[in-house]
Amino acid sequence: MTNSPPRSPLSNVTLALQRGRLGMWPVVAIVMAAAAPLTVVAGGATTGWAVTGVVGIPVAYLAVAAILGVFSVGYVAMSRKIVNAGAFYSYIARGLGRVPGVAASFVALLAYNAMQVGLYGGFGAVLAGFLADRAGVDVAWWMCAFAAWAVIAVMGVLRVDLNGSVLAVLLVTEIGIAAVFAVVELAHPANNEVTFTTLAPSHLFAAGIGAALVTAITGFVGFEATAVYSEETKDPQRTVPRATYTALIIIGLLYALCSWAMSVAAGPDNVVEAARTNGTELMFTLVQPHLGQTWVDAGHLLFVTSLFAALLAFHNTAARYAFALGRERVLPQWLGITSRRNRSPKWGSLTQTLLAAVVIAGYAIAGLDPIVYLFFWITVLGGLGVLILMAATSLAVVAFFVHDAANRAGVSVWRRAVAPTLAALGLLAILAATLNQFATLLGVDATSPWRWVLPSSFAVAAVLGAGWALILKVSNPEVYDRIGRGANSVTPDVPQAAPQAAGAGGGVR
Amino acid sequence: MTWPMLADDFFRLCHHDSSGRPLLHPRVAGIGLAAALLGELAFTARIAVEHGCVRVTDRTSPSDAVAHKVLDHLLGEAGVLPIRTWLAFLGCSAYEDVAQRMTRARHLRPEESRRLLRRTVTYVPTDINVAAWPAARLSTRLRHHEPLTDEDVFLAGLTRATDLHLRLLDGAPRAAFEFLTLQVEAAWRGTQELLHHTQAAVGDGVLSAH
Repeated sequence: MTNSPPRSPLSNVTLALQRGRLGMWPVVAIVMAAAAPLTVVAGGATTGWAVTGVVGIPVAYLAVAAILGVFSVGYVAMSRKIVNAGAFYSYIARGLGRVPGVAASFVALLAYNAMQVGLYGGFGAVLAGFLADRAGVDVAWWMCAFAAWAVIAVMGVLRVDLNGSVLAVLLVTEIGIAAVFAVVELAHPANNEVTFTTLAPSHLFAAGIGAALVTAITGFVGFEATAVYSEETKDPQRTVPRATYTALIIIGLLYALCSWAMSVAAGPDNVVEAARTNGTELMFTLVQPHLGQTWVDAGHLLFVTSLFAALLAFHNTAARYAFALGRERVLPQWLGITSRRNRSPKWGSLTQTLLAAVVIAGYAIAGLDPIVYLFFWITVLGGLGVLILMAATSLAVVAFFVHDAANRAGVSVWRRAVAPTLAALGLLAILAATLNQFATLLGVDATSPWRWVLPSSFAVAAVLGAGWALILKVSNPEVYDRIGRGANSVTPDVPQAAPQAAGAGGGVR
Repeated sequence: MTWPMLADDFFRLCHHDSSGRPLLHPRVAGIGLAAALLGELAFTARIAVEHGCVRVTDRTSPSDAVAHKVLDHLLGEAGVLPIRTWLAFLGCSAYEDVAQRMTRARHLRPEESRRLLRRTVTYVPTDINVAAWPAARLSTRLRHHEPLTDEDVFLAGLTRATDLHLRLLDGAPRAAFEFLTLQVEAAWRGTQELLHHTQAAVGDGVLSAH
């Protein structure tokens, strides 16, 4: 509160602007909808087993939740000090410099677009499978994917968001059904024995753990959006951190519980084989003998809606990233044009839509398996990008508070130095393990070129971004100076006033 | 001196001249109109907009009732608040305030319609020529690179901040857009920051996920 402007405690303006602000639970619900629990449990964990062959995925979810909790300490502390706090590259631009900032922004564009486009593979395949099974309608996966694509395209440009209460109901039902399935699975363990094998910490040091951890991180992507809401919450100092930790705890426990329960029902020694046989059907196959068809159908439907909610959330994230960069004039200015009637990032949205269409069409023409090569490979690639961004952000948090004495006031050493350093070490260790085991992650031969082609796409993006930043430094110093400030790049950077000026109700803080 | 009705002109700019159909999202229109109301006070030297904040410099009551109300709000705060806070606060009521002011002056006629069970009020201009004048004036001058008054530069800056200029200069050569940019960058210092923060507020509105 040190940099708040003087104000009377009963300011009319403050009171008026506080009305209609978000409490903690709405923020938790919104970010969890993007993380899409059922998508991760039924899709991510099962495909993770099938592709990587690594058993310890349940414990990986717990480990990742813990590391991201530590990461969030510094992330949330710095989010209060900067503008455009929803985007990792803003942290990196402020903490590590503008050149790494633009490099990070390119990595982020690639990562979030990969997350979004990859989900189309899951959506298409799951919906097509469900329609074939239950309605006897035979449609190709890419037709289902394009149907969702068309709806998302329109919703993105018209800025139709899923209603908050609809999302909340879907989310609670999703969690409820996942929990019921988990209980049923635990009640019917393989060989009549509930084992904790897949939760054993020893897996964290076993071969292939990098692959399991990045699979787990992919499931958490979306939780970082809490910082976007800081200006819209009743009490940003408390609501945002609480929402972040609450979301991490719920997501982490849910993922670990559900994936562990599946491994118990299938048998820890058998779960990889079962996942390879049943794919994303594994969870439903395990509970089918013990629950009625209605439950299984409901689970399938929620799986589909959860994929859709995640598609929409990541579409909006990717579109807004492009918009913010257009606004900063780091990318062409037309990307920063708003739709006048709908207040949507029109061109950012359309660009994302176009990119998705090209990728879906490419996979359809090439006849590649949508679950393995699109849903798993490409979303995990997105997860890897977000892992890189989070590692860099942790370093940026440390650097930011070291450089800027004015910002240190009121921020404890734990929050500004110790926690972000621990997070950086943890995330970099995961990154190293992941890159080392990328062949395992993709489920390909140790000699397959894909093991370096996919990860090096981020190196290419970063090099392009850094090069572009250097060009801007010479050719357009005005744009260069304001890198990382998003929509606020048009305003002069007043260090003290900037954080308050960041959003609609800046003065309320 | 007559009161500079900048918010009236911006209202005309962000509505269709004959039907009164809004051309901007209500939230964006609200931010633009809030900025225009603050602009009225800036041009009449009631407030100074600097270092990201709004400060009252002259407490003399404005002759206009809506401007009076805005100044009262500004005076009612014990401290100096950021521009962005004022844009957000005034943005909530600016649309109704300006529409009512124009209705009282018989520039607009409210028309109720029911669509999809929802009652909506459209403010239809009473005189299409008056309603079309700000857009016609700005568009012609910008296209012909003619000098603009400080007030018109401010209005043009508001259209740019809300992306309305793309409609205003639809089909115009690139040079017209560049001329607009030059004009706005050279805008009267008292309103320059206001324009920048308006543009930033509109952009942040797009980025905010809620």
